[in-house]
Order: sequence, then structure tokens, then C-alpha cells
Amino acid sequence: MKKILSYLPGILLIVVLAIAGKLLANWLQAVIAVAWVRSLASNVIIAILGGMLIGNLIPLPGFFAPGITSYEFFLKVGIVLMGARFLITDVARLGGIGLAIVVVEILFSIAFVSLFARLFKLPEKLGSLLSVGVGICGVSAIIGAAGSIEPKKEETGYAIAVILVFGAVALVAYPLLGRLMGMSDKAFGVWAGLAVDNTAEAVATGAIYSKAALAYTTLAKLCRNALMGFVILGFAIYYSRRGLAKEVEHKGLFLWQKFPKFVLGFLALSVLFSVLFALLKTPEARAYFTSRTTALKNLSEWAFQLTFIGVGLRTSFRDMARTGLSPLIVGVAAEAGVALFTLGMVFAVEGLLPTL
Amino acid sequence: MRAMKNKITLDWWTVIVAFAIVALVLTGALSSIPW
Repeated sequence: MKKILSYLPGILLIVVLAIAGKLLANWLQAVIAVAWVRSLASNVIIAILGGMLIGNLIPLPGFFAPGITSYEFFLKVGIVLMGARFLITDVARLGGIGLAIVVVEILFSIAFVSLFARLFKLPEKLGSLLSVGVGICGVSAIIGAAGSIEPKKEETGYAIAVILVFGAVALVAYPLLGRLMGMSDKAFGVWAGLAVDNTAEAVATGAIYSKAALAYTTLAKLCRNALMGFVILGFAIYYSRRGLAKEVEHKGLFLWQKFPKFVLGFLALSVLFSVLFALLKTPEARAYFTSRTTALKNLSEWAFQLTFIGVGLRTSFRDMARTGLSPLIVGVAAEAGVALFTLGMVFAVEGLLPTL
Repeated sequence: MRAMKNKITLDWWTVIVAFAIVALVLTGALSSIPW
């Protein structure tokens, strides 16, 4: 109970800032006449920028900290709720192609990052953590892998810092590049889901581009998250065979433990709503049902809004400046390589991807 | 190990909370969401 109470101040702060950000965005949308300036004043950008400004300029008391880190909870609730919007047949079609692309992306990332880590003589386990972070899903994959391959504590901290630095860069760079290249919502959304490491930042990057892009980003990102267990298991076996980490006793159980359960929730909701939609045939039932789906969509957007405030608050420029140079160089090379590689893949398969 | 256990529980909690919200919305308990 005491633990739950310790989360309250930070959660309240996030909720208040999210509502204030939304009100400010609504007002700006109404008063700004120039279209491109108006598009910069979206509630997503205001939430992230506002969070960054407050987090970096105002010294927040320590009791806010636990609640601020809880945004990952809202992120996952928001993703599960998004499941209601997708027909399971669409999820299967996009997910099938998505998983195939993601397998290639993960193999490329691991090979590419390991190569650079070796060139710059980073400790081997730090290289592995970075490749897991870049290949799959950022911070949660690094923490998951750290439990299995037993790196030094500061190596884990380093790898997480690098992923967070590039998450912040991605928020600005990807939407700009996407607009410059005139990418479609579909292509950009899938690209952001494949190339941005951390789930929160990936979702935010998609949302900054457009609401339509956000749907593709989420699905592509979930494909990566779903494969997390397999990659971590691979690394765990690799290190335990060489006597550098403890052995994995029960591989099936290991995979289940590492499988992100919110992905199951997302799929279950998508199945439920697809079945309901197929069963309900009368116009009244359809209308009621559509209004419920819209309500869920709004709630999921609010959950994301809380996430974006949290992402902004957590992005500390001071911590970024403290990250060492050589992991950063490896990070730059890795991120740029993965960004280009995934961009090529997205353009190659864009025609095959179903429209949501 | 303990951290991992917490993580699993938290992940499941997100699913439980989301489904509770869905139940509320479907039954009309959260009938009008103003935003």
C-alpha cells in the first residue's frame, strides 16, 4: 500500500500536465492561422516538449520520481486498448509481413552493432546489450537481457543511456526526414516502428507524424517486442556456453517469462472486437458498437498522452551529456545503419503491406 | 529475480486494467468521454 501511495504524486503531476498540455494544444490549434506552425503545436509535440522543459529546468522534488517512471504502465494499457481498433485479420496480415521484416532487422542490427562494438573495443557484454536494445525494444529488452547475460551494472546503465539519447534524437529527426522524403503514413509508421528502439519513443514518433502513422508504428513495434524473448534466450545461451553467465534451465518457461504480456492483451482485444463486429449486424447495434470503439480509442490516446509527458520529463540532457564518447559513436553508427537499412526494407515491401 | 517477478506482474496488470476499462466502456458505465 505504501508503495502504491509513493506513485501518486508523480502520477498526479503527469495527469495534470497532460490535461494542461491538451488544453494548450486545443487553444493553439484554434488561434494559429498558419498551417505549418499549427501542425507543430499538436498535443503530442506540446506534451513531449513541455515535459522536457519542466524536467530539465525545474528541479522536481524526489517524491515525484516513482510516479513519473510509471508512464510505461500507461503506455502498455494504451497499446492494449488500441487492439480494439484493429480487425484481427488486418493484424495477422500486417503482423505476418511485419514479423518477417523484423527478423531480418534484428539479425542485421545484432551483426552491425556487434561489429562496431568490436571495432571500438567496447566490452563484449556492453556490445550485446546495445545490439539487443537497438534490435528489439530499447530499455525493457536491455533490462531483460541484463538479467540473463550478467553484465556489469555500469554497462547496463551505459546501454540504456545510449538508447535514450537516440530515442530523443529520433523524436525530432524521423518525422523531419519522413516529411522531407514525402513518405506515406503507412511507410513512415512502419519505419518508425522498426527503427526507433524504445516503445514509448517509437509510439511518440509515429504520433508526431500522424494518427494514421501511429497505428502502423504500434503494430510494427509489437512485432519486435514479441520476438524479445527469443533474442535474449539466444544471448543467454551464447554466454552460458562460454561460462560467462548462468545456464538457462527451462527454455520454454524462459520464453514465456520474457514474452511481453501486453502484446497478448492487444491480440485478445483485437480478436474480441473483430468477433463482436462480425456478430452485430443491426444498424443500431453497429452504431452503439462504433461509439464504444471510439470511446476506447480516445481513452487509449489519453494513455499515450500521459506517456508522452513521462517521456519528456524523463529525458535528461544532463545525463545525455554524461554518456561516454565511444558508446555514443557506436550508437550513432548503429542507429544510422539500422535507420537506413529499415528504410530500404520499408520502401521495398510498401506495396505488400495492407492498409489499415 | 525479484525485479523480474515485479516486471511480469506489472505487465499482467496492464492487461487486467485495460480489460476492466473495456468492460466499463462496453457496458456503458463510461458512456460519455468528453475528449
